[in-house]
Amino acid sequence: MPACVDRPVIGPRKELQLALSVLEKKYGKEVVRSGPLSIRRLSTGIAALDAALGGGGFPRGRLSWLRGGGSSGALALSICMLAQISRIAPVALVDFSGECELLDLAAYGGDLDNCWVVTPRRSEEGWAAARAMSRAGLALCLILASEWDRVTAETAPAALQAASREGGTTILLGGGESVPYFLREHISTTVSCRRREWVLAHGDVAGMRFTAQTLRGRSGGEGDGCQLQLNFPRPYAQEVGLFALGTEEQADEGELLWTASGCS
Amino acid sequence: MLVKRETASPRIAFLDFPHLSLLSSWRAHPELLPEPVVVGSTEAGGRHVVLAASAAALSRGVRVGQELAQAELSCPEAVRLEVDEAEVGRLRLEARQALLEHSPLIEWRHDDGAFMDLGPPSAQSQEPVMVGKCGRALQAVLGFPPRIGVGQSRFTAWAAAQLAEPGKMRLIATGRAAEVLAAWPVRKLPLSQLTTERLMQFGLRCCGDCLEIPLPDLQRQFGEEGVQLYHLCRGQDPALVHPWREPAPCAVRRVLAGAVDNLESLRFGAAELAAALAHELELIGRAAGKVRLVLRGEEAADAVVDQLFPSGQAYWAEIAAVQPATGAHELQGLILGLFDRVHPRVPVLVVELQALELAEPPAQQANLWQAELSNRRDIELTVARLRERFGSGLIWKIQVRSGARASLPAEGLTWRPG
Repeated sequence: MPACVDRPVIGPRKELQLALSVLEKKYGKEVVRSGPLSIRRLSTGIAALDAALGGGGFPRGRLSWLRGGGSSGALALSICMLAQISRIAPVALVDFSGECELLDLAAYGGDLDNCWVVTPRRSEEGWAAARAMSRAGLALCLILASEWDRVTAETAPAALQAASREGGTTILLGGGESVPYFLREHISTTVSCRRREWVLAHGDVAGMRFTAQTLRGRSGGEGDGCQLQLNFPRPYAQEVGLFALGTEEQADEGELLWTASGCS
Repeated sequence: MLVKRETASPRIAFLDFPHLSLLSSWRAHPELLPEPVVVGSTEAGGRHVVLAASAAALSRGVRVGQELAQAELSCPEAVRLEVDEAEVGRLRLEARQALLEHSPLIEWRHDDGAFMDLGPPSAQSQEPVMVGKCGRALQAVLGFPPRIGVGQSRFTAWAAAQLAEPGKMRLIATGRAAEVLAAWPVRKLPLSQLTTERLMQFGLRCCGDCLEIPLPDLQRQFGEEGVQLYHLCRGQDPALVHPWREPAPCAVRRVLAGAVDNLESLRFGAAELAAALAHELELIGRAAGKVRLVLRGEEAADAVVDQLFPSGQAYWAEIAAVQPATGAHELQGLILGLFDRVHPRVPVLVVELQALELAEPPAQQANLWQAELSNRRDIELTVARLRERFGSGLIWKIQVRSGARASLPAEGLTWRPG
């Protein structure tokens, strides 16, 4: 005697489609995506650094951290990036540290008309400004601080991440050796900068060589690194800007990828 | 035989009263009734002009629209008052409501008069009753008896109102306008100053003098204004009454699952509210010049919010946008600012967001070559809102100072508010 069947038997593919349609109805169409995850990226302008970050540059709509203390190259790299991006899109700098040399923005060829500088008197003001401007669609928002646990409230990182996702803004945290846990869990990419040596010329410090290594990359590039040389804006400098260096043997043959005009 | 049947134009009434700003000033200061009073306002460009002036001030040379400084020279003893926008708005609303109860065809004119369409001439016998009711209703609201004129056209009704005394009405029968307006001076006709001066030079000082002149001659001498003069002298005016309509509201409303005490939790819904309102604005193709946030308690969930008399269960705040807002993120910034201003004393059950002062959305020119620049306007608007919220010392634009080299790096930059 055949078994009574209360409902029609459907195959596994149909069951999957049914489950997906139930999820989409409940949570919206974006809840399930098929295919490779595509992350939009903001190029740093340096192919070697872009490759070290997982291909393409810093991820857009997410938080990234350029980790490093004083004279490690983190601050210099972040200012160079800000100058580079400001030539093509609006950017903002939120300076909690008060130590940033803003003249370097112009020296590295930045378009100051495309750059807004936020000098918060209280930390809430800085985070609110970063959120609002990120939501409005900045290309890059650079937030500088030397002691993150002093300036970061517990709720600030989550709100900032939501704003950056909405506006497609790359949020770059520059400086500091450590971040509080509630900020760390929202950081997608951590790049550690470490100075190798100073570049000396004419009895002066004309630049620095440092490594930038991706310590943590949720979107790829973990463990990859590159070597960079930064030429400071000096009156005698012929080329000011950031170079990518190859291996140590090729250090002198580094390709200058983007520069500002030399200071006269 | 063909008979040309002329279409009967409707009868029109004009209710003339002192400017609402003057009335509100007299309400606040009754002792100033016999004194020369000048009420000033600030125009969009920052210019301080005369909005309204009492008869005593007008007789001393003050003119509406002239600069306050000039008015002070004309009449130094005049009392200067600033317009109370809230009170004027309240009076305007009440006066409109009072008139709309008697006729739906009301055209409001610059806060100092209203036209009313009374219907076809066949109902002429009912006019005094109907117009009298409107006049009494308006007097009850304004506290001042209006002058009423009734005629076959807008100009005739207006002229008749000028001839009437406060609290009285002057009716001009159809076909009798030319006779009544014969003594009307041409200086008081809505013509240009040049045309008026030329008429005076010709010795044509009143409408009766112009009645004899045929239309082709007037047109040859004065052009379009000559044609206008021909019709005005006969009390003819083709313009009809354009009734005032309540602008269609654009609003979104959310009823919460339970009444909420904590405003912080409502802020999380600001993004969704802003997106919904932006969608509504996009559907009607408008932008919001002002945004109003209304928080209602349980008892006022369905009541109409009287904008000037908070009911005790509905709390509201308004904010004007720097420029008409259409996008969700622009509206969200405004909404978050409104949450700081509204302080409900009851648990909130309904959150409503209304778009007011609807305007044409600002045109956006897409720069196809540099897509990122399309965000610049949004960013500039955001910076303006942040400046309003935190003051001008938060966001800056820097420029390299040209000229001699600075000894300190900080001196090499010029800072200006962003």
